[in-house]
Amino acid sequence: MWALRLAELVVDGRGARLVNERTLRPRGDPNTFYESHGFSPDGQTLIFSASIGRAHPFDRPPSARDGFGADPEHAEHNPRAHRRREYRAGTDVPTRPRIHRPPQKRKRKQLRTEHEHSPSRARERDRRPQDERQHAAESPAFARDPLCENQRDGQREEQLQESSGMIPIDEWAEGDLRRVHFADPEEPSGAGEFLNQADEREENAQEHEHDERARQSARAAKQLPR
Amino acid sequence: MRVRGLGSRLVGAAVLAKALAAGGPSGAGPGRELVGVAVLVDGPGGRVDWSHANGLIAAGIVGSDGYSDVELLRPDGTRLGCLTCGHPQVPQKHNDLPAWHPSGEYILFQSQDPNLDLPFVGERLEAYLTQGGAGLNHNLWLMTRDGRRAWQLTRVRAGEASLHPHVSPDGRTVFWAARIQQGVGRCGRCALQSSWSTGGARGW
Repeated sequence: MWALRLAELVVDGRGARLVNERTLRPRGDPNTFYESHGFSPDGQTLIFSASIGRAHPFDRPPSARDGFGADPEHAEHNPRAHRRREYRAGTDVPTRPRIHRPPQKRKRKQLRTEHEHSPSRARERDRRPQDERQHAAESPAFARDPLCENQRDGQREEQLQESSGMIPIDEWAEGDLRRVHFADPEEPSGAGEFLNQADEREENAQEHEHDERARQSARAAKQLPR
Repeated sequence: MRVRGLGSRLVGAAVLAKALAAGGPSGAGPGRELVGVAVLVDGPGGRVDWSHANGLIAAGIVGSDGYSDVELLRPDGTRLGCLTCGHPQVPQKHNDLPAWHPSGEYILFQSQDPNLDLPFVGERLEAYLTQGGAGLNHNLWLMTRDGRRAWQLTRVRAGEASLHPHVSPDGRTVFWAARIQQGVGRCGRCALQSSWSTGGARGW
């Protein structure tokens, strides 16, 4: 579990030490990865980034990792999932947070029965070996390597999608915080606008307070026809 | 919007550079233009901090042993010395992410604990996760500017992390990201499942 930490630095005749350590988890989600980025010039606000809906690779359970089957006993590499990941890595455009759930076995079996002889299924069967060869050629270090999943996770570190947050320092509290202002992770330039457009800052901050229901309502309101 | 792992790519870029700017009479504002770039270190390095108090730059520079160390530079690129290289008190693995105390007298940095490892993750992933940009098995240390004295500030357990420390403008508060172990055996359980999902049970 990642968190942000604050402590008072004491340097005296006995040396240097930290006292009054506090742990903050502004998003409240134990799977959120945080990185600290510093203080405001007046020292009253902290700025940090937090992953959106994704745990740190070291903390993700295998069932939540795409590129592999969800069932650890019958796992197999999924070339389609791997293609999707490469595409997303290349775009560098934030996407909506996704939760990867293992597909239900009954549903998979049903689909296999329905589409086993369909033309699209046949094309997929023909394409799969080619995809695997292509994947092996592109990343030979990963091919049939027991460490390949871990190595991929190391690369996926680069794809953690984060949003910036700021904590007013007078609201330091142990554990989860509820009054943190987040830039919108779904707008690529959101963070920059948030910092540069002072007039809109408060409005944006209110809109994106750490209350998931409020955020969903705001998104729904934006989508209403004018 | 940030993308994690950018720091490690910058290390790979192997250059520390300083942009030179020129502006109007006030030296600030929209009239400021980039007039040049000076290369300070032509080698693997990154994670820099420029002290406003003494004008010196602290940076994590990768040495011949493959580990980062905290070095001091002048803004013209003169390398004043490596603070953590061979230091008797400081562990001799990764020492990185230096952050100046606002007084300019101390440097806060991360240091990898050589007595801790990451069981079950494999050498390659361990090497990745224990470098400064990931911070696993790293403690926070404070060192005087002349490197004569150093103090260990935190004591992490295996699999815990200290990442990207900062000192407040008044010098009284430290802010960093940390990974905290929730329970015993979690890491081991995940690693076991990981070996199954990669085909370890099939005898690859």
